[in-house]
Amino acid sequence: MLEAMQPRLYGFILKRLADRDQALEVLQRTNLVICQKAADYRPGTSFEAWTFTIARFQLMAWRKNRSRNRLVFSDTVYEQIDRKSEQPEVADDAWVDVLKDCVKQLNVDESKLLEQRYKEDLPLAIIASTMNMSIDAIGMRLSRIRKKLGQCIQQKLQNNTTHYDQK
Amino acid sequence: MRNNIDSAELDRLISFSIDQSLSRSDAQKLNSLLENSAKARQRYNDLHETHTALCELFPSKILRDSASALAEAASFPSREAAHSSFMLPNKIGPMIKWVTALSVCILIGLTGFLIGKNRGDASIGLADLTRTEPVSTTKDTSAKTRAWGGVESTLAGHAVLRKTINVSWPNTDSKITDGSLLPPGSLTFASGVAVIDFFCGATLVVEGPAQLDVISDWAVSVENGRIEATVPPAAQGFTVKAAGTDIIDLGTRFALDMSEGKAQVAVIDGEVLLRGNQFDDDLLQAGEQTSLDRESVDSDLLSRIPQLDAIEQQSTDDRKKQYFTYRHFMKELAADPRLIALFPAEKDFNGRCYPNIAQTNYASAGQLLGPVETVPGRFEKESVGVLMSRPGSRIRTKIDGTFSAYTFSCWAKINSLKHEYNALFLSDGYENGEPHWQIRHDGKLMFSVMVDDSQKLFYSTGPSSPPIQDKGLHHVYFSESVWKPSMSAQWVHLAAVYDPASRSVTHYVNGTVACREEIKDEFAIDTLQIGAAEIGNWGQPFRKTPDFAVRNLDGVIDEMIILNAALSSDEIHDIYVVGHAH
Repeated sequence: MLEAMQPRLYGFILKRLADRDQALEVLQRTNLVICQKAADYRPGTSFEAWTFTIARFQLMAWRKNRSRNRLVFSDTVYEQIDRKSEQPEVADDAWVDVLKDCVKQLNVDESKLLEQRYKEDLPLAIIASTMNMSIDAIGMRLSRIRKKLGQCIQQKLQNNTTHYDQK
Repeated sequence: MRNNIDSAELDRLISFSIDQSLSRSDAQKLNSLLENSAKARQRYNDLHETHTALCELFPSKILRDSASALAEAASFPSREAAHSSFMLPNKIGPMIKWVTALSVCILIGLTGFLIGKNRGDASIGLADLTRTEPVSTTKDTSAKTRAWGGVESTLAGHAVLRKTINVSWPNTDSKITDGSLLPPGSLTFASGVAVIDFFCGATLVVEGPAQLDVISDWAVSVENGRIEATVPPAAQGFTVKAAGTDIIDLGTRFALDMSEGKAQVAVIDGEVLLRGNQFDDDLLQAGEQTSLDRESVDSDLLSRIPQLDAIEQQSTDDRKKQYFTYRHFMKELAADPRLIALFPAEKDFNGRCYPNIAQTNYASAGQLLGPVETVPGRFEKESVGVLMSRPGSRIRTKIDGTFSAYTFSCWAKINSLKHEYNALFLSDGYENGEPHWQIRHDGKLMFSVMVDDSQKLFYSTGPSSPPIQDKGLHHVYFSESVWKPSMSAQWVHLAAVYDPASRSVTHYVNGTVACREEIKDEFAIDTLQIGAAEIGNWGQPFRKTPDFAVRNLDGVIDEMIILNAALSSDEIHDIYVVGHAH
């Protein structure tokens, strides 16, 4: 259960910190608190929402205890991003299902890069050296893939909604 | 976005925020761009959302591992069960609303119950049950691998403290139990004898007062103590460091006396190489001895060195005395009218029958079934225990009568918690008032009693599967994790007290309270029964298919006491003390 939540929790935290190492640290702290407070979870309520609430508190504590110059975002931007994400915080399962279809539409190089970055979790520097490219170029390529996938998802979700309405 | 240049720069910064770390100046740039542009924030949000979805689609090892150990420590319902409130409108349908009405604890309990409860209602087909995520049958090794994180476990240590005889430790905290791993670091005791097996194969018999420093599988430093080292061929090269000298063993037995200011070595058999201090790779042959610090050699050295054979004999004598005291205690306990059953550590079994010596008439003798093995018990050669490492192993009994409380107490030597649930004592049917006592794979003790098997409750196995109906309501009382792989091969005393009168359930480990939990109103039941039941496994003779849940305890049990009473913590402690083989 908690294990399955990890990508969503990580994404939630990373978006608010914009730093991979810090996000992993806060994720661990969040996991610990979730486990310690397991008895407080009220059945019938959303487990995801409950975990995100705990993550929010951990983020606040993290930001409070870090020196300003080690945080990417000012309080203003942090609040803007946090507010923006008050709506469905994370992609639900339907979103991921659609993403699966979209990934199939990528070309071989793009699929390979995604696999290295996500499945194998290789650092960009390693990917860059094996592909004989600069880290920035790999970063931009990943960014383009994400953009492409994001557009594909929106398109498909829109189609699905239209289809549903017609029924 | 004002122009394309900003867009490209923004994408670069967002990419860095996702894939690596931003430099200080890039961080300031990103902060500034987001602060001043809603579109930039939208783009940031979109790309991060896609990243999160990609993480879900391709979960990396670091994320998989990040929660697995912790998640096991806490117990949550399946993701689908708790997630169902998200999915209700379009995916699952109204039936699943039942699921969200269940408490986490009930779900934990039902999960445990469902694992092997295959003789349920006709409406719960086996196919459904075997699809449930937590089912712990041999078909489910993949699920188990996932639950355990799929990572090979490791322990730290260079040697094992095989046994101690009358060892006096400096304080309670520094006490090391027999069978414990010895990590790098010091080992100190004031008196007595310790036998240490190094992983390379060398064995040290050490007499206190002793102060050692375990360095590696192949080396130990000795500050104080008398030592006999036995080094088989496989361990040639084992080094004992003393008084600035390396005593490098070339496959032999040698003695070292570092007591009372002395520093001398004598070779009993084979040869050793001395290096350092005044030695320059000097060989010392069998029958020779020398001082490591230029002092005169005490010719009486070997007579004072501890001899393993003599120590073993002393140990055996001590065990005999302890076992005698233990049996006397058990004989008196057998007359206790509160007893439901008493299976003590026996000298040996007569055939495949484990005698129940309780003088009450509730319980039958235990029948040893399947591939059980009798092995040395807590008192070593003085008593036997039942090893139940193979899945069909079981000790079966039948207990009639109704009871008002339970105390379960047993001694177990656990090799591993290799199943999701590992049985201590489980009633067959798990009907109203029947107990289940077991240990989860993460070392948490579990005790539960079925409260109402007529209640219709539902359990979700996922958004695409129909909810599974369970037969009853109960609650599992968990302890914290009390067993770790480093405790393998150590005897441990476990007890659970279920006390409806005081509305509490208490777990004990080695005579002390590990956890106490209140019995809430909805889970209260005061008429208890057991029926057919098993020690160290779970019998399900009424199931409708050949499949059965694998819950045999991978370990040895050599005592099980069941009482129709809630024993006090003092009484539990007494049972522990008298049964603890020193």
